[in-house]
Amino acid sequence: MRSVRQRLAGWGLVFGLLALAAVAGAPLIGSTRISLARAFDSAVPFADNVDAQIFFIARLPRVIAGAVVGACLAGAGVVLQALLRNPLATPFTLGVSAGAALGAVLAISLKLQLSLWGVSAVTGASFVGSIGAVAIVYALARARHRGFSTNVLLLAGVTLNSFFSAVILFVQYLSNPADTIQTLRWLMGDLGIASYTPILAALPMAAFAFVAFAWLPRALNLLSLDADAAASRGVNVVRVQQVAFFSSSVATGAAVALGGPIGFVGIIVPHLIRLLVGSDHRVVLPISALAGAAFLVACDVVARTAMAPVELPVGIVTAIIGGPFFLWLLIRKR
Amino acid sequence: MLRADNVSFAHGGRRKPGRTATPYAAQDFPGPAPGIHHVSLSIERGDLVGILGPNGSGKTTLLRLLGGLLQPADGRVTLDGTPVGTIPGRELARRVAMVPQETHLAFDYSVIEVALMGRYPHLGTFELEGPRDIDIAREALAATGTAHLDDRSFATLSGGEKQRVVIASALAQEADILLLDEPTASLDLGYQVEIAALVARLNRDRRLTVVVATHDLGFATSLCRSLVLLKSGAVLAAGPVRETLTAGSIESLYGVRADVRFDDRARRVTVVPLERIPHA
Repeated sequence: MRSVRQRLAGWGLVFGLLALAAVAGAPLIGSTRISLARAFDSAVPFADNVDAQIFFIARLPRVIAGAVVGACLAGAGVVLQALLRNPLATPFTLGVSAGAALGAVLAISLKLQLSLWGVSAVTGASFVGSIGAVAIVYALARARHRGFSTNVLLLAGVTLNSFFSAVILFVQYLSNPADTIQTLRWLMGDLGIASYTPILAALPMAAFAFVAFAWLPRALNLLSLDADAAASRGVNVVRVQQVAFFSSSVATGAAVALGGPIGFVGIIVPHLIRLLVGSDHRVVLPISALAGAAFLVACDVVARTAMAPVELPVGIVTAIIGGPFFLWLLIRKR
Repeated sequence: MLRADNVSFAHGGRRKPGRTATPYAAQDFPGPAPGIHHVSLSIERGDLVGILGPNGSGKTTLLRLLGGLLQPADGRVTLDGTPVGTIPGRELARRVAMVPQETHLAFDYSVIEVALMGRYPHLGTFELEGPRDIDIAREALAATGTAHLDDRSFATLSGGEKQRVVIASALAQEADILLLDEPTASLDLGYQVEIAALVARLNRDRRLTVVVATHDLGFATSLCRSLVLLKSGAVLAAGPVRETLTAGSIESLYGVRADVRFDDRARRVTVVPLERIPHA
């Protein structure tokens, strides 16, 4: 068996290049053909340079957001699956996305207009909603014990998901059709971003989450044994579970605030990567983040071009690819 | 020397935080879970101790207390005089290793990867296993007779093979105290004998102190030098096998009338269970 270092270097190179190619190539592809030379021609003022406007405003923010969201969702998926010791967990299992959705829906229905540092009310409200959900789930998981119970975590998350969905339906029922359509769009998961400010707002959260992710993988490997075995090998189990829970929640919250609840990325990518590189989280986690970025950027290219000039929400593309892929995963198992 | 002084522990309710929060499903879903009441015992270096008792007598809880995974509500557990709760996790893991009853991996790892997990307490957070760690893991697999399985997926192993690989992983910790929780509970006779021989060999050749919780009398009498009999969370008797395991103690422990003999030639106690005594 090849060492962790070799596998990390080899697969890192492959998926690093893939992610780089996706991010570099995606802004060039779209319903309108643009010329790179003209986009970067500083002789033409930006206001008159249509190619530059398409490149820098219509496409590049979207591509960067896709990469950040893809990396966050895939990384959070890996961490949550390890925390819950359940390969079928997704970044949305613990209610983070439902909380975010409730926040967004309330912002849309109440027509909140205030924006902070260029971040729209919907984005801000969805992040606040995800934090709220995280706080509730965490409080429940701690309430019964001095430690931290992943069983309660899972049950609380699943329950909160359905409860928030019910509240969302209730708000939907009372709001006007235009708001309902806007909400529905948001719930599909869409990277229709035409500015860098939301990305800049999400980046610190993503960075924070990934610093925590870097600390986790070896302990996550041991948690796959079981909590007792991990503790008797010197893992501070409760600490690791807390860090895993909060960091994956922050990553998910940032991703959902940017792109809405884009499904399947957080489950397909980790599964595919485990098939390729094995289960060692020191390899799975970073490679999944790279692969998640590449995958979501590629899906967004499909979303933008498949029915051009209509731009599909990327969540539809990931779900249409992801659903059948997941079924295939289920039946191919031994 | 591993000592427990007047140790008590009750599941549920307010208690000191331990190293793990989810010992049993029982902790999440209320119901009777075994507690421990005023248990004192001491385990000498190089000893091979069996903790015997019926289901629910608190064997696993006692083992977890000895391994520092739970904090006693009362009393204290010490390792060479230092309370185990005050020893940092990694340091404790280099001195005491624990093998849980059954291991189900959440994800599939190869056998050598599982063995290498035992190196955790010897490595820094971002340190990767070096050639020395791989040698130690391979040697641990060899000691448990599983070296030839190194590239196999853990999930494809038989119960006995899994148990031996998990023991190898604990050996790779290079601790000198090994705590085993019902190592033969789900194994057939062939594997039971195999695990017993392995444990005896580790105790003899590696001078490991071994504490093994079991409800298998045959396993305990053929393997252990001394026994701790646990009934409803309290020590019923403790000491050398021949003195602790008597017809009286078995009757009190299991409610079973048994024929207990000491075989002079084999130099071991044999127990033949005869009948269950109806509850008074």
